[in-house]
Amino acid sequence: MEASEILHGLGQAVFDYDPEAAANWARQAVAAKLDPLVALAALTDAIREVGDGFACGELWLPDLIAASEAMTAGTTILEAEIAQGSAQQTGLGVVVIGTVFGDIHDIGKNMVVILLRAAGFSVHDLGINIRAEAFVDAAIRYNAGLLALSALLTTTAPEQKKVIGLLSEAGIRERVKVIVGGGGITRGFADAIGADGYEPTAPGAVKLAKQLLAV
Amino acid sequence: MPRQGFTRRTSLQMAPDEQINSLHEAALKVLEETGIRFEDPWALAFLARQGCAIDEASFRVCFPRQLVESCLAQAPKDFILTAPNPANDLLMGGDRLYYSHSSGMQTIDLDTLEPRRPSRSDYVDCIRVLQALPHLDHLGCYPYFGYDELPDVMAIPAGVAIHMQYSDKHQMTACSNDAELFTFQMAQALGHEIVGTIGSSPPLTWSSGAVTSARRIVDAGYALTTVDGAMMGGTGPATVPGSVIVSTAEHLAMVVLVQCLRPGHRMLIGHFSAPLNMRTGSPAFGQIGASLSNATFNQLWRHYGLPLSNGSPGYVSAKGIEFQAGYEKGIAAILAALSGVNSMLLHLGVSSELSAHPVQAILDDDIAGMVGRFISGEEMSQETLAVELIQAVGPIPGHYLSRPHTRKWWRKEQFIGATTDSLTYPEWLEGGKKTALDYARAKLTEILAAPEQRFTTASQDADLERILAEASDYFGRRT
Repeated sequence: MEASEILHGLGQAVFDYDPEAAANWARQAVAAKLDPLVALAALTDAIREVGDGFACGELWLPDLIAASEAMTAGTTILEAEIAQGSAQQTGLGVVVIGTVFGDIHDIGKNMVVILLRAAGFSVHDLGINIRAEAFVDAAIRYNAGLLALSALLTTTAPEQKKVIGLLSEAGIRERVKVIVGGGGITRGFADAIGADGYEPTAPGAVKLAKQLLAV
Repeated sequence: MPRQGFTRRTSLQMAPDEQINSLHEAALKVLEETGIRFEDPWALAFLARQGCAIDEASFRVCFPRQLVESCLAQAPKDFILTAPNPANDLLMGGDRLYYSHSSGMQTIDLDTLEPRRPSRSDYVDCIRVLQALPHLDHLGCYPYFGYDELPDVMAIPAGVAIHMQYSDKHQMTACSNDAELFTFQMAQALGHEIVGTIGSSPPLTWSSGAVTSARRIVDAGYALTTVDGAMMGGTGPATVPGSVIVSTAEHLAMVVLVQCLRPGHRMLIGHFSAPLNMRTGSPAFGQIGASLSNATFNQLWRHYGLPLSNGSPGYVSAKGIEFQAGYEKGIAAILAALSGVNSMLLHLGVSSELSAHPVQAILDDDIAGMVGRFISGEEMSQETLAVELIQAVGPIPGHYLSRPHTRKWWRKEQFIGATTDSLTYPEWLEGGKKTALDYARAKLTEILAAPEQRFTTASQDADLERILAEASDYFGRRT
C-alpha cells in the first residue's frame, strides 16, 4: 500500500470520527514501516483542521471530542512504535494538565487538551480530581514548561492557588508557567492567586500557551 | 414538496370539548337568530337563494343551521398554496405551522426608534430580509403601508410587485379598495398564485367591498383568507368566549357565501382579535387576552378543521425593539402555535400597526424557530430512548460527547438562535458585550451585503410596470 494512501486514511479517520479506522490505518503504517512521526503528523494535521473548524464555529463540541478520540486511537499505536524505535517526538513544549481536586468536570479541560495537541504540544493529561501534589510531581517527572489547571466550581478554584504554592515550595515555580481556566475562574481570580495566565476559551488557551512558552 | 415549516405533535386544550361545543352552538344561534349584516345587495340576493332569511332594511342575513354545517363540511381541510419557487409551496392545514409577518405604517430609525416614512429602498431591503430568513415561510400583506411619495392607494399593488421581484416565497395580499383588480393581474401575468385576504367589520358585519373582493378572489380561483378583528369590549364582548362567538359567526357567514358560490373553494380562517385598551381606545396588542382569544378560537376551529391563521402575535404594544416586544411576541407565538394555528403572523412588527423593521424580523425569526422546535415535540423511538447507549456509557468516567448518537441528535434536539448570545461571560465581556439587537443588526448588514437577487425577468418587470401604470391611472381617475 502506498504511503500516501495510509497518510490520507489516517487523516480521513479523524475527519470521519472513526477510532476503529484510525487504529487500522495506524497499524498499516507500522506494518508498512512508515516513519511513525510522519504518520503522527497526518493525525495532528487532521485534528488541527478540526480544531480550526471548532474555533471558527463551524464545528461543535461533539465533533471535536469525537475527532480527538479517533486521533487518540491512532496515536496510541504510533506512540508505542516511537517508544520502541529511535524516532524522537519534537514539539512546542511539554504541558501537564488536569482538573483540580474536588472537581470532576472535564469537558473544557479535554477541549484544551485536544487543541494543545493539535497545535503540537506534548500534553500529559492527568485527568480529573487531581490533588495539588500530583500536579507538582507530574511537572517534575515530565519536565513540564506549562501547567494548566482547570476548575469549574468556585468551591474548587482555591485548589489552583494551592498548586501554585506547592510549585514554589518545590523550587520549580520559576521554570513552570501556570495557566488557569474553567467556569469558576475569572481573570481577577487568576491574577489574585499569581497565575501566569488566564483564558476563558479553549482556542485562546493555545494562543496563551504559545505566548507564555515563547514558541 | 412543500416547505417543511413545523409539525405540531401536541396541542393546547383551553376547555373540555363540551364547552367548546357550546361556543359552536352559540355561534349558530347568533347566525340563525341575530344574523350577519351584509352591506351588499348582491350578497343579500345570493344568500336568499341559498335559503337564508333576509331583512333588506337592515341588511341582515339569518343563516339556517343546516346550511352552515353543510358549507363547513364542503370547505377543504387542507390544501397546497403554490409559490413561485416550488420549494416554497405551502401545505396549509392539519398540524403544520408556518410563519408570516405583520406590517407597519412606517419603518423606524434604528438609533432613535422613531418612526419615519420608508423609502422604496427600505421596502426592498425589508423584502430581501424576509426572503432570507429561514423560518419566514410566506410573505403577508405589505410590510409597510407605502413608501416615498407613493400615493397610499397604490401601496398594495406596488408592494405586491416588489414582493414578486425580490422574493420567490408565496405571498398573501390584502384585497381592499379594488387593489385586487391589479394585484391579480400581476399574479396572472407572472403565473403566480396569490392568496386574497378580506376583513370583516365587527361586530357581525361584512362590507360591500369585502363581498366584492371575495367574489373576485373566488372567480380568480385563488385561496381566500377571511380575517376577523373584534376588539374585546369594543367591537366584541369583553369576554373571550363572547368575542370568539362574534368572530366565529362572521367567518361562518363568509364560509357559507363562498362555499355556495364555489363548493370546495380553499379558505383560510384568520383570527385577529385583541382586548380594547380601555384607556386609549386602541387595540391592546401583546396582552395575554389576545392569546386567550387565539387559543380558544383555534380550539373551536380545529373541530371545524379549516386551516387557521392568527394575526395578533405579530403586533405588540412595545414601542421599540426591546424586552417588552420579546415577551409579548414570544408568549403570543408559543400559545398560538400550541393551540393549533397553521399560519402565524409574527415577524417584523415593532409597535402596534405603527411601525415595522427587518431587524425586528431577524429577532422574531429566532422566536419562530424556538417555538417551532417546542411544538415539534419529542420523537419516542428506540434510538431516542437510547437505552443501549446509556448502558454502554455507564456512570462516570463515561460521557456522551464523543458518541455518534450525540453528533446525530444534538442539533435536532436543540435550537440555536442566530441572535442568541451563547458565549461564556468572560468571552461576552471581551467581545464588546453584544446584545441580541447587536447580533440582529449585524445579520441585517450581512443579508443586505449579499448580491441582490431578482426573481423576475425583464419582460415580467415590464408587465408589472404596465399594470402598475394602469392602477395609477385607475385610482387617479377615481379620485
